[in-house]
Amino acid sequence: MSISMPDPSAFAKNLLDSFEGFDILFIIRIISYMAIGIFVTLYLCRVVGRVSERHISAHHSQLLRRITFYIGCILSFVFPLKASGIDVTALLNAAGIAAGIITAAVAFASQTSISNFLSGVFLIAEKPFEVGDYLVVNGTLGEVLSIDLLSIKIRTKDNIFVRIPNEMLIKTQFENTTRFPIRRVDIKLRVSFAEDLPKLKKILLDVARLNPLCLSSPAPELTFLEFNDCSVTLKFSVWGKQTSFTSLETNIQMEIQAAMQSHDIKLPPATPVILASA
Amino acid sequence: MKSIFKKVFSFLSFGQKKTPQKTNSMIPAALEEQNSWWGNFAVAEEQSRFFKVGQIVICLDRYSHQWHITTYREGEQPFKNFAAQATNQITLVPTMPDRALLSKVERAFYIPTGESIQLYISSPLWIRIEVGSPPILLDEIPTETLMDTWFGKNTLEGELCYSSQTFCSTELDELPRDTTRVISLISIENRSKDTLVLRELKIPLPYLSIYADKQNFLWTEQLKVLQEDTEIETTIIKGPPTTIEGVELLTLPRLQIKPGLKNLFGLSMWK
Repeated sequence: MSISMPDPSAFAKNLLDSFEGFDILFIIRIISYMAIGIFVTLYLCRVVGRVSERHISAHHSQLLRRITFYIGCILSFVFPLKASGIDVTALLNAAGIAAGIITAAVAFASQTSISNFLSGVFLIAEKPFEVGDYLVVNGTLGEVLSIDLLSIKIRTKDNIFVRIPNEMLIKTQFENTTRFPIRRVDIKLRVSFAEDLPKLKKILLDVARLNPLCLSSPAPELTFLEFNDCSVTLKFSVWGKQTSFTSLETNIQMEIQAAMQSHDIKLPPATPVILASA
Repeated sequence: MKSIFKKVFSFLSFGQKKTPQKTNSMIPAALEEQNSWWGNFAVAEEQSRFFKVGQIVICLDRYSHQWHITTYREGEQPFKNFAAQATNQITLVPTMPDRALLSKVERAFYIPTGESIQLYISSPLWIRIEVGSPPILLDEIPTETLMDTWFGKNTLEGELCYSSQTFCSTELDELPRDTTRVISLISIENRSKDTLVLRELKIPLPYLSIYADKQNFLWTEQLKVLQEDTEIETTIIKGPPTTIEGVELLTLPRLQIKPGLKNLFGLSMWK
């Protein structure tokens, strides 16, 4: 069985025949049509972006813009040639068959890229995060800038650009710190074993009550964690809005420190003090 | 008079125009308490006008193309500068806070099965400051500082609200009458199997209008709440409260109720 391949030379001959009797204006006309097509494509991309942003999320809108751009570019290339009488069918046919052969080779070589692409599709469908969310991936915290076909791009708080392959996000655990509107701040305190814990609890609850960033509900909570040498470890938890989490985390600890100082509550020494008897 | 003189002097002086620093001492000693603090007011150029609204005092200074709004609260004197069209008319309007209010009832109410209760609840307001026609919003000022809180089944499902200690009573006369607070009449009927113990109420203030009666006390629509076994059914009875006569609509709701909106009203109770 033989596969009949279109003759690339037939396309070339067709192309040259098309140019028979041409003048420079012919080429300029084709290029102009292509340029107009590109400008129209760019304008269309902008319109699609503006309209879609009102109805769908930012990263879906971005994807739609890119798809519109790629389709527009292909059409801007093909239609001017077709309109000028150049038969592009042979080229498309040849390209189609060649593509089939190349695809098998490329697919094998680009397993990772295909995996990233498919992971990206699943991420978009699952929507565990959106553009603008803050993610922690393998210890890196950053704001999601874009969700692309092969990877996501994040910007860390110290302005570093990080590219994370989609496959990694599907395979590993990540944390979305901005998914929910409220978030809890946990503060570990190690105090002396002899400390008056009910008094300390009252002091801490008063600090939380007076802090404007601290939510009254869910209520602040003090939990006893463990006994240590000469000390006890406590956990004081307060809730705040996700948008003011960092401010709350800093302010409340400063206020706790000030309150403990004013009530003469000291942290235990790092190493136990051994007193020798006479 | 002193402040007017200062402003005239700074206007005439050469160089950059300096804005006088606001201090508590600039509030007129005898600040007239108005019956109603809302409405249209004229403020001439280079003049100031003070409004006492509950525990706060608002100072409005008008310049040729600017308005300065200063709010005097305990120990706080923020100063806001607004570029606005040349007009001497400024409007103060009572408006609802932008979030629901979670009100803790001073004493718990016990509502047995099949019983109902009518409560009058007093909630704090915001002041909306507008200029020109059509009105341009300059600022919204809370009449009292409200803390943030969360109301919901858990930390996943719920909403951010404001928290306030509420004046709540079955008798209207027991509520302090204050033109900076709005009163809501809420009927709660218990159709569940257990006794309802009412400790907290989430009042959907952004969805309510503000009406003023003849004595310039402020009201919202009446709310009707049915507590079933598994859900709460809330109805906002459109129009002014029927028990009060001669009411006038001052402010429309911030938000419109969309079909399918759930958890409009909330009760926190222990059975």
